[in-house]
Amino acid sequence: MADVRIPDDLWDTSKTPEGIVANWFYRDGSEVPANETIAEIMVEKTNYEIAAPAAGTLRITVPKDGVVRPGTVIGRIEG
Amino acid sequence: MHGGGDDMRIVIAPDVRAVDAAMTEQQSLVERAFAEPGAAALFIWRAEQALLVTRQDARLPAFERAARVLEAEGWPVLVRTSGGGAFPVHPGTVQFAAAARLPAAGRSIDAIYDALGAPLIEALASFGVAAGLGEVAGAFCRGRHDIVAGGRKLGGLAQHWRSTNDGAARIFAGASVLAEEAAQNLTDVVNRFYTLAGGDFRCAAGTVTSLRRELGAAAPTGDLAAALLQRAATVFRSHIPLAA
Repeated sequence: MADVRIPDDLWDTSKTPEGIVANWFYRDGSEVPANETIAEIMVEKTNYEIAAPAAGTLRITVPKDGVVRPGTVIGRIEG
Repeated sequence: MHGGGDDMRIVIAPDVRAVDAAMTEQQSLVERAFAEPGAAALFIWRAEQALLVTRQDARLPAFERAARVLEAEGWPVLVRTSGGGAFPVHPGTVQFAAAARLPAAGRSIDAIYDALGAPLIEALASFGVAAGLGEVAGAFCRGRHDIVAGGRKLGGLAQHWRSTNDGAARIFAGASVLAEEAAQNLTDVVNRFYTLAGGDFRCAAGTVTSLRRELGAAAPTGDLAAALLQRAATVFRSHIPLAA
């Protein structure tokens, strides 16, 4: 299993407390290929696309429009 | 946003061109920079008037209709990859597009904003305008790293990142700086787009300025956007800027 995780240092939370999941490009339970863009985070006028860390079944833990911070695990890939 | 000093490719397009052609060239340069680890590219360009919107804007319920109406009114709508909101460009604005594929660890969007913003602030200062990065309540495409002068928005910055599984990030940072006054009120154009597209956002009048307005009577005659483009290019060359 691999976590779909927002990098710890992506933004300064003292200035911008949180971002949101702007979009999931696959549905929960979908099979996703490794390195495919699966989600999009929006924070401070930045679109941050997250690639699948591995191939497998996507399990979404933070839905679209959910609030996120650096280090948040927004989903996982089950092998 | 830059790994060294000699591998930064700067391309300047001083002539006003069709916005779709400019964005195609921009994308080509971006992809080339992404293909070479450590390489970076900066594209500086001007275009005919258009409204650049985000992918989130393009998902508004009546986006297609809004785009058709605005294009018929002389404002073609193009979707960009960076975040924020709708931003109108015209021959009096100058666009900056920087791209690099860099190690992701420890890199932040705040640092990238500072790296792109500092040379732009310096270029504006060379005209005698004191600007800084900040936020203007009620402005279109508002963010904390907009270029602000006299309490009004003079330019905007936005980014697009894509993570990869090799520990790198493909980072794009864009900026638009308003050099000349537009023939049409830009906030009206943005508000018309969101009204037609079914979006809730509305920007406030009096929140936007331009380099010419800030200079007032001291503004030189001639094409101020062209002058800003060349001045900024000189600053970027001397800085080897995007080192974040």
